[in-house]
Amino acid sequence: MKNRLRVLRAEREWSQGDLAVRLGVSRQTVNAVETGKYDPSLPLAFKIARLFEKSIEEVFQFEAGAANGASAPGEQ
Amino acid sequence: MDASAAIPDPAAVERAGRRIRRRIRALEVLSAIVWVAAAAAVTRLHLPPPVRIAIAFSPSIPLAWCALAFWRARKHLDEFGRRVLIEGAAFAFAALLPALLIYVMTQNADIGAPEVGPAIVFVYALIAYAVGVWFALRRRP
Repeated sequence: MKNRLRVLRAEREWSQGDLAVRLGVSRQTVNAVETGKYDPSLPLAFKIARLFEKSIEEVFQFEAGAANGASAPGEQ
Repeated sequence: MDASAAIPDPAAVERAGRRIRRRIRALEVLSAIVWVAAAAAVTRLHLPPPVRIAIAFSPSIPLAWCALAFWRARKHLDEFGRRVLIEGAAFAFAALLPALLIYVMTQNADIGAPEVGPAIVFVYALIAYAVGVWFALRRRP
C-alpha cells in the first residue's frame, strides 16, 4: 500500500511528532505508516484522511497484487 | 474534525513515553540485580531455612512490579505498538517451545547434554523476544 502521508504532512509543515499527537498515536507509528512498514487499521486510516480533509483513496493507494493477490474493485 | 482542538505538546508526549520506558528498564535492572544477589545468597551462604525461603522468593517482588508496570504501559500503546509487542511475544514463544522440547528430549535420551538452569531459559526468552520485536519493527506488511 502506497500513501501520500509524507507529502501531506510536509504541505502543512508538520513534523512526524506533530502528526502523531494530532492522530493520538506514537511518532514511531507515523514513521512506520509513512515508510510502508505498517498498514494502519481502518479507524486510523479514516482519522488520517479526515485530518487532512481528504478521502481515504486520496491518502492511501492500494497496489494490486500486494495483499495475497487480491484485486482492487473493478479489476478482473 | 477540528484538527487544532486540544492538541497536546508533542515534546511532552515524547517525554511521558520516555519516562515510562525508563521506569520499566529500571525495574528490569532491579529485578536482575535482586535475582543474581538472591541466587548467590541461597547457594553460598549458610542460612536458616525460613531466611532461605524468603530470599528465594525475593526476586518475584521486583519481577511482579516490573510485570505490572509493563501491563500498565501496554495500555498506552497504540495499534502499531501492540502489534510489535504481540509479534515479539509470539516469536519468543515460537523460539522457546522447540528449544525446550529438544532440551527435554536430549535429557531423556541421556546422551550427556549439559544441564541448563532456569536463568539460561529466561535469558534465552528475553533475547528471542528482543529479536521478535526487531523483526516486527522492520518487516513490511
